[in-house]
Amino acid sequence: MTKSPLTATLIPLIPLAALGWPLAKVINQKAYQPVEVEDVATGPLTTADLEINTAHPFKEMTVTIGGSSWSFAPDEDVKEIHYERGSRVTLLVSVIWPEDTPKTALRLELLPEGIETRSYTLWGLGEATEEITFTWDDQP
Amino acid sequence: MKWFLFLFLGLTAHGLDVASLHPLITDAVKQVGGNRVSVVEVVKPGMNVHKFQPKASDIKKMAQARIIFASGKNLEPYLKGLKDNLQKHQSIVEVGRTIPSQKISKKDQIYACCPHHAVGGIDPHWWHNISNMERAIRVIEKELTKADPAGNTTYAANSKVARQRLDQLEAWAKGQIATIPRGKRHLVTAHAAFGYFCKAYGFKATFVQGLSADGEVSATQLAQSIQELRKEAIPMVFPEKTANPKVLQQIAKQTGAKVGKPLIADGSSKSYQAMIQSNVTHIVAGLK
Ligand SMILES: [Zn+2]
Ligand SMILES: [Zn+2]
Repeated sequence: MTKSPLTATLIPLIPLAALGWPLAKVINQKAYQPVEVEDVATGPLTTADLEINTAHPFKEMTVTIGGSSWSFAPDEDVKEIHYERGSRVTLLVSVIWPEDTPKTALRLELLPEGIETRSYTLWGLGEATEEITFTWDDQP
Repeated sequence: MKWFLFLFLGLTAHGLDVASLHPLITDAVKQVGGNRVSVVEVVKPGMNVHKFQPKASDIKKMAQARIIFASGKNLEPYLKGLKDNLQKHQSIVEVGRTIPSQKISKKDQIYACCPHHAVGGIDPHWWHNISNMERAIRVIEKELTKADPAGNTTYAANSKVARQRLDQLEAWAKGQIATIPRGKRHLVTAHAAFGYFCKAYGFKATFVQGLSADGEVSATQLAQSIQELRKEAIPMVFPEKTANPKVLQQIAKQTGAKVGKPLIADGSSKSYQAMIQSNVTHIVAGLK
């Protein structure tokens, strides 16, 4: 007795179908259309929050990037800044503390939109000026 | 007429009307908004954020909201459809949009929490890194200020307090985690939901529960996981509050690990601080 040609062709497909059926059930729970998640790290300028934390209040503080400067008021702890997009950024930071302030620290945190946070702690007695460069390997 | 205009702008007698599509965002908006803002909680603690779909009644509930805060990173694949149903004065803010994304690696995509997060998978669970929640607070501060400029000093002051609280919370969490010997910082969970936590706080991550409805993974994958966990003598594996613990229990049995107290993966909590405290406490108790 021989199998009909049709049955012979179909038999090898049975285990495949058995595998495929539950898989299809799982995957087709609802035909899902992945939406493009918008990349925030595009455009000529990076928008970032520049956050500062101080042990002692300062009198004046300025941050300069390229041709732009931002001054922080003594009660200010964060500012939105914009600078040219790139895999590195250099901040020129200058701080003046009130007289009689002991040697103290100021922590800077740069939080660019869509990009990893970078931070740096700057120390000074009375005043401090420092150039700080943050880099990112994985950013364009 | 004036009254009508106020209503139209979402600035009513009780302040700025907004809505929230995620319990942790609700908590954050309440902290930053204080009593200038009233929040309609559309997705409440206990609801499954991965499966939620807004109904007509939800859209009606949001009708007064000037801003609708979502978590973003494609946690809410329905946002595009929702947008088409909004009125002119309403906008959607995806709070997590500007937070640096982490991807679920190719090999881990079968462990994603639901099909939406398995495709090209940006991990949507950004809230498990406390610094990311600080970023979220700032996003909320800026958006509330844009919608209600008169409240700017209130929002700035509240945001500062909220971020300082988060700094303290993070210092506490890091201190707790430091009590786990470095070599034992290996977090085994059901789904790929703790990637941000593991990267931020120096844990190796292993996920064991697959994408299918009943959480089955292939026998080969299961055997691989079991071998890895045995080799590393993992003392505890952690279930999630909303996931089926079956596979995890099976793995625990075969590796000699205990099943820990469930972690909160999706932020189904009234308080962000409570979620972090609970997760960190359970992880530390199980691994140290
Ligand atoms: Zn999911
Ligand atoms: Zn999840």
